[in-house]
Parts: sequence; C-alpha cells; structure tokens
Amino acid sequence: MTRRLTLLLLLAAATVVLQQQLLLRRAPRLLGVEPQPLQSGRAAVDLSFSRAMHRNNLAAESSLDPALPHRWLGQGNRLRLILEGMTPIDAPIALTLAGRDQRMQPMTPQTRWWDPRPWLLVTRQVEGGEQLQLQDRQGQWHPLSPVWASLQSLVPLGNGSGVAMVSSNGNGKETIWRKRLTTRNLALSQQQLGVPVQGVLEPLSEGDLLFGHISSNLNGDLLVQTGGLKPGSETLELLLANGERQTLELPSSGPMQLLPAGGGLVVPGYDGISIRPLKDNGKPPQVLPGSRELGAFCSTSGRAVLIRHWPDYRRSIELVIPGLAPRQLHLGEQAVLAVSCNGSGDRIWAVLGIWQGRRSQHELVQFNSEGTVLQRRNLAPWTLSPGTGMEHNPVGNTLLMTLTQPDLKGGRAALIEADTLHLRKVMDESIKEARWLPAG
Amino acid sequence: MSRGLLLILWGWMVIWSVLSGRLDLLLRGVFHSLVGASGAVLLAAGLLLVIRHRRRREATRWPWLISAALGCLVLLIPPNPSFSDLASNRPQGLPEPTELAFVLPPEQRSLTEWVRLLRSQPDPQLVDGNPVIISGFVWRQPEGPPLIARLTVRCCLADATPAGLAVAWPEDAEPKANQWLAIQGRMTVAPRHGEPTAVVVPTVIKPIPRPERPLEP
Repeated sequence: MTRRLTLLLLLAAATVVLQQQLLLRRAPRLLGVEPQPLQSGRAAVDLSFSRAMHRNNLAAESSLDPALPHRWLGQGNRLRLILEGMTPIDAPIALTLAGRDQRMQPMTPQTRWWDPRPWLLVTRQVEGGEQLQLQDRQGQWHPLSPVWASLQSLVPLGNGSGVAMVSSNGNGKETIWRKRLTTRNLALSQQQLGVPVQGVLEPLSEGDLLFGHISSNLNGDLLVQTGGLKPGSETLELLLANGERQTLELPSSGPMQLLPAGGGLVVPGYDGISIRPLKDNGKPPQVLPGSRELGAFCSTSGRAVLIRHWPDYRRSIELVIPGLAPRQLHLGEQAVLAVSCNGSGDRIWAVLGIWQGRRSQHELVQFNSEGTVLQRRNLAPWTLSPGTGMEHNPVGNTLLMTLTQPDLKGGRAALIEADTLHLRKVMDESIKEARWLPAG
Repeated sequence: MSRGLLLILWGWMVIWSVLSGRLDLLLRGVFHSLVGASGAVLLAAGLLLVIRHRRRREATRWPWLISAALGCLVLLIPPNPSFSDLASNRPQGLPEPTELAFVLPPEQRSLTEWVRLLRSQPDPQLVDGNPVIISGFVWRQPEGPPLIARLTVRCCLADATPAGLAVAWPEDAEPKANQWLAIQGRMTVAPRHGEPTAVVVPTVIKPIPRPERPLEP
C-alpha cells in the first residue's frame, strides 16, 4: 500500500515537473489582434500574446509593408501598435510579427493583413427615395438599406460594427434603424480583407416618432433619443455594444451626444451644455454656460470644438481642453457651417459662410490649437451642402465633405487634403450626405 | 480573574483602534464594524469572566503578562508604518476599474484613478497636457526618482497594492520617502526607462498630513 502511494506521488510529481518544463519551453503565441480606436496616432491595433513579450525585441523583429512609421506601446502580454506619420495610407498593410518573449523564446513569425482605411457611406438619392450605400475599394456601391422616402440622419457606430439611421415616411413620421455589419479589416490573408459583411436591419423604435436622434461612441455604444406625438413620450435609451440596453433619465433641451471615449455624454440645456457620466459618480456635472453647441469631438484627446452664438449675432469657434477655460480660436460674423478636428485636437478645420451680394461663399479654414490660421481656401464654385458636416480621416489625412453647386441636383462626396486644403476628389454620384464608417 | 482582565484589555484595544481611526491604516472602512463587534465580544467575555471568577485567585503566567504588556504598548504607541517600504514589497497588479475613467474631468481623477487609466490605456499621449490634482506618499525607488503613490486595498494591508505615478520633481524639491504631498500640475510625456511615460509636472507641491484614511479601495 505504502509502495503504491509512493509511486503515485512520484508519478504526480513527475507529471508536474514535465508540465512545467513543457510550458517553460513552449514558444510564445499570438492570441489575437484587434483594432483599438482610442489611440493618439492614425490607427492602432492591440495584440495579445500567450506570454509576456520583450517589446523592444518584438519591435525590432516585426515589420510593416509598406514601411510606415509606427511605435509599440504597452507591457507584458498585451502590446499596442500605433501608426504615425502623415503619409496617406492607400493600401492594406502586411504586418509581419516576430520577436521573443521575456525569456527570449522566439515566436513563430506570422503575418496579419490590416486595412485601417474607413469606408465611405453615402445617402444616395435613388428612384423612389433615398438609400444608404457603401463604396468598396474598387469604387462599387453596395446598398445597405431599403429605399425609404427620406433618410433623415445617419450615424456610423464608432467601432465599425454597424450603422444607425433615422428614416422618414415623408409625412413627418420617423423610424430608427440599426444595420449590423461585421468588419473584415484584419485577416490572415489579403484575400480575406473586404467590405463589411451585412447583418440584419433591425428597427430600434416602436410606432411612428415625431423625432429620433442617435449618437455613437468609439466603443460602438448607441444612444437613441426619441419623442412621440404625445407630451412626455420622450425616451432615452443606451444600447451598449455588448447587447445590454439601459433606459436613462436625463432631462435635456436637445439632442445628446455620447462622448467618444465612452462613459459619458454631452447634454444640451437651456443655459449651456453639460458633460454627465453615464453612471452617476456623485460629482457635479461639468457645465459650460452660454449659447454654445457642440461642433466636433477631437476623439482621443478629450478635447472638443464648440460653436458659440453671441447676442450680437457673431459666432465664435472655441476649443475645449480638459481643465482649462474654452479657448477662442475665431470670432466673426461669418456663419460657422461645420467644424472638425484631428484626434489630438491640435488641428481644427472650419467651414465659414460669407454672404457676397446675393450668393454665399464658403471658405475652409485650418487653425492650430492657439487659433492661428494655418491655411484657408475658398470652396467656390462649391459650397457645403446644407445640414451636412465635415469629418477628418487620420488614415488618409483627408477631410470628407458633402459639396454642392447651385445648378446641381443633390450633393457630391468630396475629399480634401487635410494639410493643403486642396480638393483631392469629387465623386460623380448625387448624394444627400457622406460619412466615414470606421474600419473597426 | 487575570484572564478576564486580559480579555478586557485586548477588547478595549480593538475598540480603541476602531474609534481612534488607527484601524484605517490596516483595514478598509467597510470592515471596521466587524472588527469593532469582535472587540465588543472580547470585552463582554472579559467582563463575564471577571464577574464569575472574582473571588478565585489565579497564578500569574508569563505569557499573559507579556500579552498584557503588548496590549498596553499597542494602546500607548501610535503606529507609524512605512508605506514606501510596504509598496516596494508588494505586487503591482491593480484591479480593473469598473468604468474607464476617461469621462471624469482630469482634475477630478484621484491618483489611483490616474494609474488605472494609464494601465488600461498604455498610450500616454492620450493624457498629455491634462491637469492633475492628486495627493499621495513619496515612494522611494531603487533606481530613478521617487514616485507619488497610494496603496489600494481590497480588504486590508495584507493585500495592499501600490499605484504610483512618475513625477518630474523640481530641482529644489527634496521628496522624502513616506512624506505625504499634495501636487497640482499637468501631465506630460517624457522618456522613463527608455519608453514614453506619463509624468506629472508639478506647479505646486504642498506637504500635507497623512490622510485619516490613507488606503484606497
């Protein structure tokens, strides 16, 4: 009996030692690669490994094709690759990963294909109404929605996992929809990269609405704000990216916006705008008094661009930097038609409208964070389509706008160089609005 | 009777630790009522023993005397632990925050919230220029300048985990280990140990007394 027990104990000890030695000698493995929207560069991916990696070694042995400037961040078994520089990225990137873990065990080199470029989404005017369409890399258009009488608003989810839309039946009744998409911007081979796979189109509102407002953040959460025909029928619901739904009780005087980094939202009030956390933290909300409206978020820096309306009908553009009073970048009588900023909030673009005779001229102006004008360019013969905005794409270093001309039916999607403000491309298709769908 | 007196002494010592706030150095506040209740139980048991055996004479035992002396010393000498030494000997894995604290205005973030944020987002550029208002103790480092730190606990000092932030100390500053400081300044990105790191650049450094509850959840 004793002998058998001793044998069993020895066997167990030998198994433990064997397992330990096997694990000790096992090469590190790449467990996953995911896009990371919250980053300070042009695009980023988070890589997770089975072992704590030697970051400097990994950085030295891994490579990108094309060879784009980049940096590695993080420690242990979760590292982040951030693309930097200003060269436009116009092709998928082959990411060859190699390197050693902290015990200097080598990882088997492997390649991942990554296409960080966003997709162009447009509301196209088609026979019978309007339709949401996505343009692939070859220039082909793919319908993402049925044809509705009107597509009132369009919000791509911040993680690229779908698009939220507000359609109208033409009689002032609105419906909110979400189209699910599965991104294919990270793959084992270049052939596996492609346009997002279409999922279901689901209504997010019941019955006809008088108004519907939607907003998303970089996590892919969606805020749905609705109001019906009856007084007190306003609802505010948060649809989290993980599928949870939360009803929020927040009074406001207008459309709310989720903060890009998540966790909070901007609430317009009658006497200013406030930032509130989604979960009450017991601290007072941050309030900016005055007649201000949110122009754009500088997604990753916590900065935002505001448009302030003065009692004498002048407008100013302000940059909000956390912890500081709003910094005025511009003050004038021109209409501020659209604003945008880069992720770090050190470059700000604005479209200003000036009346000359009986026609308005639109001017695109680039500021730095101190309010110095770096570039300005008159958009003539084009003007910004009424009610549309402007979006900066850090991957291509371009601005996306919807431009129009007096003798044109509808607008045209236009790409403008973010540094020089040169018009790079104006598309032929007649559209109502153009937006970027993040690659995910 | 001696046993009863000893239990009363230790029961009082436990209750006194709760009442005087000494327990804040050892244990999170949520557990204080449990400790207080155990002190009351000891006190009651001691009283019961004294009442029951008030006429019985017991031989004095050395271990009891030593225990009584220790109890008196604990009551008389206030504790003065070295958080810096403790932090140096503890693992540094902070629990994940329940909610990413980006939404908090930067100046409202505590030191622990800053550290959690920076660990969940290894990109220091995201917080470059943010205002910082924090307080903590000076944590001496084997190499390089000291950090400003706090100890976080789930339960008590036995599971304490340090959370430290790098500080660009002004040339005239002489931070001493364990000294408690309130710092106002801005976050900047500077190379530390060969990698870009979020570093607090102080504009105001003020010595403060150790907070009543120095351990953070």
